[in-house]
Amino acid sequence: MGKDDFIYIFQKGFNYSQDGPGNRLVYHLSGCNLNCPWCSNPEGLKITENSQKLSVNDIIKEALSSKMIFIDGGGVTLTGGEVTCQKNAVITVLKELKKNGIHTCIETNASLSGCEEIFDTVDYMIADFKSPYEEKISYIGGNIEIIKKNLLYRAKTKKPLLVRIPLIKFFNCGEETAKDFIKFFEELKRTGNENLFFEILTYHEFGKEKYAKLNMEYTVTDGYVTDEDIKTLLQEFKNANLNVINT
Amino acid sequence: MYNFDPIKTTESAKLLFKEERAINHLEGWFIIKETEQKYNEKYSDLPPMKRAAEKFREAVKILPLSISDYAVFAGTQRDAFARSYALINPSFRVETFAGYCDPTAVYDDIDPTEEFTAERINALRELDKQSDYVKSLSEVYKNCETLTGEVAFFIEQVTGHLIPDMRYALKHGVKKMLEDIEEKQKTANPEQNENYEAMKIALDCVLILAKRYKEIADEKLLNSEGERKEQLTLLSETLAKVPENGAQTLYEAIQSFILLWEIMCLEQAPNPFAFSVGNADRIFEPYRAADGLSRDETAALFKHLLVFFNVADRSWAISQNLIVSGRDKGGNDLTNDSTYALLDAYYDMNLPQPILSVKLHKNTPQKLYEELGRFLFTPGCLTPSFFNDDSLFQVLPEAGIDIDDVEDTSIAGCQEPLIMGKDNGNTTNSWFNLGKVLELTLNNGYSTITGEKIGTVCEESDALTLLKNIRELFYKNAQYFCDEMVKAANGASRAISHLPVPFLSTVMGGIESGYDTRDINHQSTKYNGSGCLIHGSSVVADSFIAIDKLLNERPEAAQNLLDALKNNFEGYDELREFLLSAPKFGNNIDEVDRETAEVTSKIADMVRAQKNYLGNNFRPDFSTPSTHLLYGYWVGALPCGRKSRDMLNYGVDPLYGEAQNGLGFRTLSLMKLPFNKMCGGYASHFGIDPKYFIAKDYEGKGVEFRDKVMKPLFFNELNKNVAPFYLYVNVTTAEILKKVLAEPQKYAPSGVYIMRIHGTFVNFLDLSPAIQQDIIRRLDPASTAVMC
Repeated sequence: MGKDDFIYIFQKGFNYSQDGPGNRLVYHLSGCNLNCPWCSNPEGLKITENSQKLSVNDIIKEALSSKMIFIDGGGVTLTGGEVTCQKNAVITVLKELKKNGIHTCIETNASLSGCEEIFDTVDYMIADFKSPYEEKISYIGGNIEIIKKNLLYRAKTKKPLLVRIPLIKFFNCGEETAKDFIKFFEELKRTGNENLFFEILTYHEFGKEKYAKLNMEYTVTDGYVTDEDIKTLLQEFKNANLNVINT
Repeated sequence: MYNFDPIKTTESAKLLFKEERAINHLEGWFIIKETEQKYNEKYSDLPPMKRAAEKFREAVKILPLSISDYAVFAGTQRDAFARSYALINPSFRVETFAGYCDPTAVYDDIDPTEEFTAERINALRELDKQSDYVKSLSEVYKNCETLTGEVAFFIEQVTGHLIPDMRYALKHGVKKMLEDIEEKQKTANPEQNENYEAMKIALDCVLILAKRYKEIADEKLLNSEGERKEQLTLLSETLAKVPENGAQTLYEAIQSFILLWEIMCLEQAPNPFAFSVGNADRIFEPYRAADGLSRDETAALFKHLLVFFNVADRSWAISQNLIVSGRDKGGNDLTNDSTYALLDAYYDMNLPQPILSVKLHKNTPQKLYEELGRFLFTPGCLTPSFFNDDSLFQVLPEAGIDIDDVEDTSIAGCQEPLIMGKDNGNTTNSWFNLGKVLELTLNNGYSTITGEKIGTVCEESDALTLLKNIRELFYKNAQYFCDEMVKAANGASRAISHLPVPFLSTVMGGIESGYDTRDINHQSTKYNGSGCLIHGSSVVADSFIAIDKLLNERPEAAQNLLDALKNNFEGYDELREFLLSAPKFGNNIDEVDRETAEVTSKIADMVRAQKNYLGNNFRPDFSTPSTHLLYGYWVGALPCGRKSRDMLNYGVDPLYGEAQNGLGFRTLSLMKLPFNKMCGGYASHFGIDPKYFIAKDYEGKGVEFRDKVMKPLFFNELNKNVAPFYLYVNVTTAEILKKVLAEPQKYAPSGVYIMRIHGTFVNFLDLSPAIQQDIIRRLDPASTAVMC
């Protein structure tokens, strides 16, 4: 593997603080191993002919020429789709970026095994934890044990880990679910990682219009959460003294 | 003292605006001109400045005045303006607009009535044609008509476009200014002495105005009762006091300001466009603080002040600018309670004028961004333009401004930074069209639009040699046109000096210097220069890069390119595609961004080296207030792939459609430009889709706007160059605007839907169709996309 590796993306651009710290150049990688019905980037579920092929060199060059705008601790974020679906190229990109002094971040569903090298390398990791239950995770195509293992692995590196819960009414709301979320989060906390953060993302339909354009069906009818749902989960976080942030 | 109830005062401000918008004819300016003409003979023996002052005084004595039943202050700008400004004129067409070359064209902007008959209008027009001003200006235009015909450049006499410093007049009153003049006269030379006499007469005009308004207020008092009686009593008492004496309360200060402003504008009827207030929050804060007025009470009075800036049915007093916030030379924030009260007044009234600008800096309080959120994210609401005060504190001293004066920087008209009360920038004196210069360079001096010979100083050569040397030849021609432009521009400045402005001079440093602001032999203001608005920097740079690509890959196609340009690419589709595929400015591609920076830098230096009528330097100003459309209409096809008659790039921005990679990349390209050389100002616009901002409320969105847009662009600690210092935004989408146009009743029931075009904001529904479409096109969403 080397600098001539390629990654496939479906979009790129800048964002501030919502995809890692500071102002960041964000690449959305094509292809995902899960199939979440609420996904706001359905165009990124597969590598298609519309995907843009970028060499590692292209990315490094672009990142270096963008350095001036990485303010407030910014840098490059690889997100998806699912970044670990292109893990070899991703590892190369992350290492090259770091070699060039650029802060790196990934956003991942953390549901693929064998990605330890990524988790070791990246400066800031944002990982979803969508449900504490195996049946829910398998419903979207994942395996709860792999996700837990990956998050624990990252937490033990003591490097920054932001765990995000996409709160969706029909999927992961309720008092009992909230308590079960916290059980695992406490396990993460016990790793002693002082850079462990949690964030609740509430359901939205920003990507809904894309489904019709892609001739896909948008099936979620019961996604929006109430203030009460959020409050319930936040209370559990508070009780467990977990560090909740809002990016 | 009478206390103004905020709710009732707001109601009356809104009714006052409604009443103003119902006026569809403006004749005050005509009465002034006619009266001045009438007294021409009587005062013909006086020196020019004094003659102007005497004639003006005669006009002020007889100008019909009134006070509306809804007004809490006396005064209007209605009599100073004609219904002339092209861009809000429904009959405006890009195809037929010829600039404001004819100084008597304003007589077409008054509809004959029984009182103002066609004969009366024509008679005055004919007399005006014989004036020294019109004759000399017409001569200037005649001498450069070959070069201005297809707008290689354009020139104009500058009226308005200054920032008076009213603070002394507000604080000490006109009486004290008269005493100051008497004192200065003791050591003045004869010429200054005559000028001082003129200034005294001009100051008397404002006292006459106050007296006449007081008489009207007193008359209205006789038939009034209750609260209105109390208001009119206060008005009458106030008019007896100010502006003759210093103001002590906010009410007095605003009243005094209005009358001073009215006289200043009447003196330049019918063209006092783009006078600016300066830092209104700092001007009025001492009076508000002395009164101890609450934010609501202050805002209510400011609402009436804002209505004063709106003239008749289309708010014809265009581009009068009011700025708030900013910093001092130590970097300390100067936001105050009046800042927030002014913002409240602006937001609640949402008027087409006056324009709002905000000076930001790295220590701007978060509260200000929070309070700005509502402007940015309410559809159809005015949005302020933004200035980077930190950057201005670098750019202006480099251009010769004393560091102590920089905190008084404000905006004349659209985005030209000037120092309040000290700086005569002649901001719109000359307009330089780089696109046309490139077209002429590529076509041996002939227009590819009309085939007319316009000019070149380069020798004819074969296509390949021409393209290989295109940069050198372009700059050589640019120098030639620039020299010719400056000669003509200085001619226009000399022409306008035939119309002295003694009142304006008293608030622009004339009491200190003893000379008229427009004097062409003596510098009256502390700072003086002339402006040059430079058009087409990025289309020229994109063209150079496209030529390079052609020479590298298809050198045999050199003649083909020239033929394609002559034919507007008709029959050359493949070649055009090839040229369009060359790198374009705005995508953070270093090769073309550096080229754009170089074009910008070289042309800025070329313009800056030119001298005006007083021997001061011209000021490069990369702004194109809708003239990217008007001048683009006269530019043939260019090597970047842009077709004939299409618009040029706006300000320093990429040509619409050429920046495809979103806001971050566009910002990076912008930051490579030499803003330190743009001491005359520049324009840049982001059309941003509101969907990129996800905070729940306006306050949160305001902060998000700071983080996603302003901070990377303006306050970027990693940018070692002088940072950009200007931006205006429209947070909307083309789809939304198309809906507003299709169903104005539904989306803008009040008839007002404010949008920004270049430095001003306007009622979108008032605009001519060409400008409406320009706004929609230039939202250019791919260039400002943000991830979310």
